[in-house]
Amino acid sequence: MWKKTDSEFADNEMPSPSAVPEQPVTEQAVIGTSLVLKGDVTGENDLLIQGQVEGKVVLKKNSVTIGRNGRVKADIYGKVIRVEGRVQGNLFGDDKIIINKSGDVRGNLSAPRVSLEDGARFKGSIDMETALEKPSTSASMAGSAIEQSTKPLVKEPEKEEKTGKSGLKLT
Amino acid sequence: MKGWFRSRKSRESAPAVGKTRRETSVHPSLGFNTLFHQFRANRKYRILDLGPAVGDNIDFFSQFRCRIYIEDLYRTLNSFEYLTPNDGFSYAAVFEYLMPYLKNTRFDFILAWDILNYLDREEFRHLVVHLSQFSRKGTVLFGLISTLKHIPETPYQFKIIDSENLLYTQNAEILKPCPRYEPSDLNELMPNFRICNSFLLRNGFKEYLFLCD
Repeated sequence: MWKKTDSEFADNEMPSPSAVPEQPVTEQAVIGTSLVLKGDVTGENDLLIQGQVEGKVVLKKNSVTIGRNGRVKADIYGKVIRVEGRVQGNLFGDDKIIINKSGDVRGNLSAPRVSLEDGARFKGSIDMETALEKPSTSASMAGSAIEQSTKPLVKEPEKEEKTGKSGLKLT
Repeated sequence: MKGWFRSRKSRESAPAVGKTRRETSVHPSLGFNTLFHQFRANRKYRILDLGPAVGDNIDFFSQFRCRIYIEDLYRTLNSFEYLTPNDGFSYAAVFEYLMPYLKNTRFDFILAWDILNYLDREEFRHLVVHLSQFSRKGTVLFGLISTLKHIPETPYQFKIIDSENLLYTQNAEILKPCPRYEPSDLNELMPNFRICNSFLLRNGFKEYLFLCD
């Protein structure tokens, strides 16, 4: 009496797995507050550290978050590194590094983008290259400043060495 | 840490002389503007910031190719536990420990902000000796020296708004005596640096640009 058409079969039946595009799912691993880990952490998961880690963390394709309770004494390699706790070590972000207002970092940062929220504590160095695509007012002012003839406080060091003179110019 | 702690009394000796209130205000900065105009697009710079980490300042300098070192010197110095001085106490060793740069590091710009007002003469002198080791001929040190009788108990936070203006934030509620370093003091305490420019501001600060010889 009832005859299903092909289209009805298609509606009622579960689609075959191959028909549904697979979404990449990155699970987040967690190092809990009571855990103390000494050694190297590597893998392909995002990681949330709420405990203590001493050693090295290498998750270059993933996000690494040091939670508020996290205490890390290690160099950290990640795609995106976010610090809300305490880190003593160098951070290498392939994409960016964010230090939250509750974060406390002692070490060197290297990433295309570095962001520090007000209140964040940091001691160390930050290696920055020019963000050429950044449309900031100050950048355009820098451009105009360079084009204008401004009197330098001092000659470029290379020129000083060539001439052998101090040649200091005062504004 | 080695046994070269300083007596807490010497740091706590300055009594409170009044009260102030937390405030935030914008001030034009001729000194910073002059410093800004020294930057060139085709060079990579090493900048030493003796103040605390401020996100906006890092954003500002990200327009240049640079490596910025942030020391947060005031907080670091005050985080020491001060005990009675032991034999072998040395300011040189303190700064060597706090600011251990590679021997071939040479800074192009040093941002001292108002921190020099919070150092006593010996700290000031030894800090500059230490910084001189990592300065080259032409290194520019930017500092704000207060000309007022009293200053807030803790340094201001300076946020760079643009090349001409700084946002001052002051969180202290107590005033303390200001050392009011004069140019003659600065010349004595900074023998490897000379005053290149100075600008007296209406807010009581005198901005200095010191040049390393």
